[in-house]
Amino acid sequence: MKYSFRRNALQFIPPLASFGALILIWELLVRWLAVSPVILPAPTRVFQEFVKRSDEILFHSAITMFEAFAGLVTGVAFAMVCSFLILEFTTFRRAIYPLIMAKQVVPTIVFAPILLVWFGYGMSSKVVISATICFFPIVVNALHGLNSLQPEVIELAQSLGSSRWKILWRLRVPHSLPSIFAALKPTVGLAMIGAVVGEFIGGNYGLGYMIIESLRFINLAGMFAATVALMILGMLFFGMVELLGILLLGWYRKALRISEVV
Amino acid sequence: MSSGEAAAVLFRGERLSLTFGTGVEQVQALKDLSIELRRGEFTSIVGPSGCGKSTLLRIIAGLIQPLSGRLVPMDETKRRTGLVSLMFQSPVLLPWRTTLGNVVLAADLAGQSREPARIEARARSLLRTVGLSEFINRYPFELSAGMQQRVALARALVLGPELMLLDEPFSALDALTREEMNFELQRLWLQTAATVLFVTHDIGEAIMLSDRVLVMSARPGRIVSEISVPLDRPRAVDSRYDPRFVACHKEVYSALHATSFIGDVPSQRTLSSLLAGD
Repeated sequence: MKYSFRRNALQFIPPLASFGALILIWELLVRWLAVSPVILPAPTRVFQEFVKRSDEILFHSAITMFEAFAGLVTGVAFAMVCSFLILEFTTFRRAIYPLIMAKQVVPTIVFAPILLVWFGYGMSSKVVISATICFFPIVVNALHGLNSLQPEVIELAQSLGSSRWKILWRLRVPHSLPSIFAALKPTVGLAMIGAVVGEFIGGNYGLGYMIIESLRFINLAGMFAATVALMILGMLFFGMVELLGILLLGWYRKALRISEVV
Repeated sequence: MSSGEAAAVLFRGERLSLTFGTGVEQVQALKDLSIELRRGEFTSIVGPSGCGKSTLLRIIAGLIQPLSGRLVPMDETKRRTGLVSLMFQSPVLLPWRTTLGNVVLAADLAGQSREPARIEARARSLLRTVGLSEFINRYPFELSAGMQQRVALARALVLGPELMLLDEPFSALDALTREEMNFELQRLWLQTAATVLFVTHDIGEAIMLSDRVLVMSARPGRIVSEISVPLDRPRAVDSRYDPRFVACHKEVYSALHATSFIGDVPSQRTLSSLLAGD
């Protein structure tokens, strides 16, 4: 027990060391070369800014986190419903696929100003932008997962008189969870992008707004402080998805680990 | 248990025909095929690859509709109550369910979740019978191929099926495991009153297990020969050397090879006469 704890603790040394080294080099370079804080503030300065404006940062972080989270949830929910419909109804697939593709070939950010006009300068427009970005990767991966179930499993279910609904819920959906989770991880980053881009374009809250606001005063320390906050948020968000994955996909991880060993 | 003159017919298909594809790529999978499954009888279908054995099995399971012909099929209500069970070459286990969960799955899919305790008890006893009582809470990837197929066998039996449709269930296993599974299946089947249709391309396996062996020819798929196996039950490893077994084997072999181009008898004769130095 003690031994394994020590080994676990040791695992954290390389990432901490690399992170520490990066900050140290940054700090030393800024001091030795006497770089102007307008161009590149030293980490200590960023830290000071972070502490000084911590209340403000906490407030903006909460806003951005909410937008990204709501965006991800909404985007995933729409993507799931859409992939079920695409899977079950050929006509729906024919009708909707070109639309999805047409939407996807244009960078979603292009739609951001329009969505801002439609949904206002508040949080709802950011949620919508974020959801729009999250939609596509989830649809693609969900469909891949839903469709890749072994045909014999479906035959088995049909031979026992299972309805399509039951086949979807009891067999296809659990089977597709690993694919969906694989897509969910990069989508967390996309959700953050959606929220921050929305805040860049218009609004008075959020870390994206804080960055733009700092830009007006060419306050790079403020921009870095907001970036650090975004990093922490992103990590937390990512960690939440990872945790959900561990809870839902215990069997899958176990299977992967076994197959690695064998 | 085995067939008798008075055995009632469980399933009958008359002049079944089915084609796949269209135009030049059209393949006649089945043509005017008639088949009868008698209650409590173990019937095997032997045939070359692509002769439509699996297609026939799927028609009987109600998964495919024939284009023409008359079926006295297992109806929807029978399927819903799990009276027809399927088993495939691959075990088809859900990786996120344990051994027990995979056996109980049959009840879930058949919508029989009203008496979970009874089904679970039956699943446990079946798993004990197939020698997996220590693996009840393991996941499929922790089991060997033979064990996985045992789980599939337990699942096929858990609802007490009237008809078992087995599509080459042991052909992916090694020879030893396969033989073991054959006797396992015989033992379990003798305890039930199930009617079995067993698809294989292994003649020995078919004879060892069956009361009746049907030989199918390819393109178009039809039944060309029917051979009754007069061996007593239960059969064991020694049955293989029984003269009646050998006679049946010969009969099935020649019926099978008369229908396929692989066992081209004249060329074999030419070859042996060449070897003999004629």
